[in-house]
Amino acid sequence: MSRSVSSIIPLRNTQTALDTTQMSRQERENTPIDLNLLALSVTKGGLSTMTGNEGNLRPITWLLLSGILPPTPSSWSASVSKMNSDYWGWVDELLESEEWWDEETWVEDGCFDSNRGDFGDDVSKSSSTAPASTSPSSSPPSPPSPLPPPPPSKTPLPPSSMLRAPTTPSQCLATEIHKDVLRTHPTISFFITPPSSRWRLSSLMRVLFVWAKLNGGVKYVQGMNEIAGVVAFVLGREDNWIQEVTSGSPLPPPPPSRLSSSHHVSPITESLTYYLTSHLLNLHLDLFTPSLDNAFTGLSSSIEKVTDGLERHDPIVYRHLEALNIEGAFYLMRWVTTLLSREFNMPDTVRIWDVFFTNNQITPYVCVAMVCLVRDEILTKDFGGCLELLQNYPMSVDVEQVVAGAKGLWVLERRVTECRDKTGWGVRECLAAVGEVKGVVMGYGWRGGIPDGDLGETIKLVGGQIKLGAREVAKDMGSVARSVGRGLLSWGKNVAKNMEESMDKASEIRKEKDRERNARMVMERMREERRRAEFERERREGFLEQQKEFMETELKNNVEGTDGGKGGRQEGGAKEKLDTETNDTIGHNPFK
Amino acid sequence: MAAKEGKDYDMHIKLLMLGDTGVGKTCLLLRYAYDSFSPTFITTIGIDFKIKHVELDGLHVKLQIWDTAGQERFRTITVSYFKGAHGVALVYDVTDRDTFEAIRHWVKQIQEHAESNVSIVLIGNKCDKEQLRMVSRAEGEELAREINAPFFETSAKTNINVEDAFNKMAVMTKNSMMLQESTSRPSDGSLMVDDPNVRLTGSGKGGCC
Repeated sequence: MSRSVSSIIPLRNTQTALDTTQMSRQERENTPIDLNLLALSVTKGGLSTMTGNEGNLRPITWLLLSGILPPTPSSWSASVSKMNSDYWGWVDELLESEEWWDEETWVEDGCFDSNRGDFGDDVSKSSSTAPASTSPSSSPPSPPSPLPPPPPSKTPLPPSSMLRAPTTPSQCLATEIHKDVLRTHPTISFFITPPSSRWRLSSLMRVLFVWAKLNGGVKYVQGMNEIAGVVAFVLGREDNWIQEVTSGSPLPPPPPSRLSSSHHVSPITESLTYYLTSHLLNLHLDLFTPSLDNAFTGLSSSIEKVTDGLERHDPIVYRHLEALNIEGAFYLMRWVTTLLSREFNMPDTVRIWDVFFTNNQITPYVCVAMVCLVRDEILTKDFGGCLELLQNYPMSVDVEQVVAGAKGLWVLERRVTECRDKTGWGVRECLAAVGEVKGVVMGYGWRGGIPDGDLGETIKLVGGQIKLGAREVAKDMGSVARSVGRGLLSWGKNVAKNMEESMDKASEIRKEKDRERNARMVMERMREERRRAEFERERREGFLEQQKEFMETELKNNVEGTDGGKGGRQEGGAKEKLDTETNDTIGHNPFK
Repeated sequence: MAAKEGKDYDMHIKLLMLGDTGVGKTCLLLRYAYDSFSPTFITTIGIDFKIKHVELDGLHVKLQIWDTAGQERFRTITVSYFKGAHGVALVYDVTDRDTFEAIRHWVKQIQEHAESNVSIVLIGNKCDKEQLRMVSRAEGEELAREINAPFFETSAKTNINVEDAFNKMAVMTKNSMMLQESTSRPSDGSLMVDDPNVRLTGSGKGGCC
């Protein structure tokens, strides 16, 4: 991810550009760009170099950050192709249906060049035939109206289609836009150097006209031309970045329209200029809608957001301007509705816009920072001096200071708010706790957002607060701990009791088991003894059997021989001996 | 600071430039205030201010001229600044009939939102573009009579009548203010400019003249 981003976005100190070979092209194209990382790099000034290849990254970056290009490069081509054909479809539909519209009109030399040094208009609207019939009838006969002589050759007139006074709403709209397109960024050669200026202004004209027609509720409001102008400048200044978003594949040609053959702005540049302009206008739509002036996002509220911020961060300057009766609207109406595109030179405007694309809520902070940066001058000036300063913002102010100041204020406000929410301390204490935030000119009434006076005292105060706070926390913690402890203790006791009971039970069981085992052992011993006794008895019986057989054999022998009496006594003696032996061993006499 | 400032003029006058977009209000003002004509002109968004110090009948007058955006869209906000204006320059473009027709609409706006005693001067600008003219001088004069205003045809580009037109407006305004002062009415809101510190300091002298 990050590799992909770094391959797209040159970080300040690296020279990597789009054509980096860190990844294969295919790999790069299928990796979605991390927009957060991209925004971070842009805010830090990653695009501030506007030369060479790096300059070409801004169009793609702005289109990415505004969500017009999808984050995955491989889908750029299809998406651009669709936008291109949609835009030219609208051009075709909206312009073709207007019979009076003639592309050639807007690129006539007479329209864009000879009269540019004049009041900003209006050859297109002028008539070569004074419409005497439309003069008020109440008009007394006047000295012969100076009917226009044939125009001098140095002021060529546009084609006749544009010479009629506008009659249809579309014509009026086109005329209104035309007046301002001619007055768009007139100090930049991009818009004034022929011949390119002609087709660039013509392209701008179409972009604004199509937007106004498609947004009928708002139509065209002065200031939109300035916004579209910045977009056209950034996208059109060099358009070799187009290859990146089309992957070099040929796009379908725009639908046939009355585009002249001298149309030189790349169709894709123009359609993407439309889309990016439209994105910005839609984002700030409420600024252009009179009925929403007092709505939360309307013009008056947007102005108030700045003056409220100024009151919060630089109350001295705020009060000075208030005392001079300088209302915010006197200078902020233009700052806000043109997205600051008229207050700086073009490269600086573009740098400020980088920040807008990464944070669309930062505009009021940029405005506050701008005022704070010239505060010392403001404080020495009167009504006229202050307005002159604020309406012609000094070129000497470094745009990076403006950007840093705005970001700093944004960060400071968030940190202080967070601190207050968490601790309930005062702003002064929170500021001391938050510490220095880079770039802040004036924050909450203090230079750099750091409370002045005896800082040691402040810190001691804050320290005290912190100690106090810590003690409070500790106290709270103690009570929590106690309650937890109590809980634990009682739980522990229960556990212990349960354990005891269990142990008792276990010991009972063990005793039981011991008893059983003992009993088993006793039984075993008894069985063993019985077995042995059995064995002894059998052996004894076997012996007795033998004795008996022997004695019977003896007896038989005696009866058969002469010594019968002798044999009888011997038999009785053996019997006696046997009894004794039996009693000793078995305990009972099997002969009894 | 403001008190110091009060010392460098005798009278403070607030003037307003009104008229359709593109008639050359800003160019007229730049010509009058700085005697310059810039080939690079831009659309006025909201309000622009110029300060010009002039000597009128021995009085040092500070003119604070408010240049307004011509487009309808900004009118909801800019009409609130009509109040307190002492004089109005109503401008149209002699090469653009619509801007001339719109003057009646502007007059209505002034009647609605500005002070009743405001001085008006009608200016037909771009009179150097004779070949493109769509509004005759006579028509302009007729309309001026109708709205009871002095009439000038001017060219900011070639510097025709610009100073005269502004000076006429300044003198009319000054006289009207002094007349009002000399009738010894306590100065009401209409005589106060928007800045309480920048008040009519030559009121005593005004009474004498």
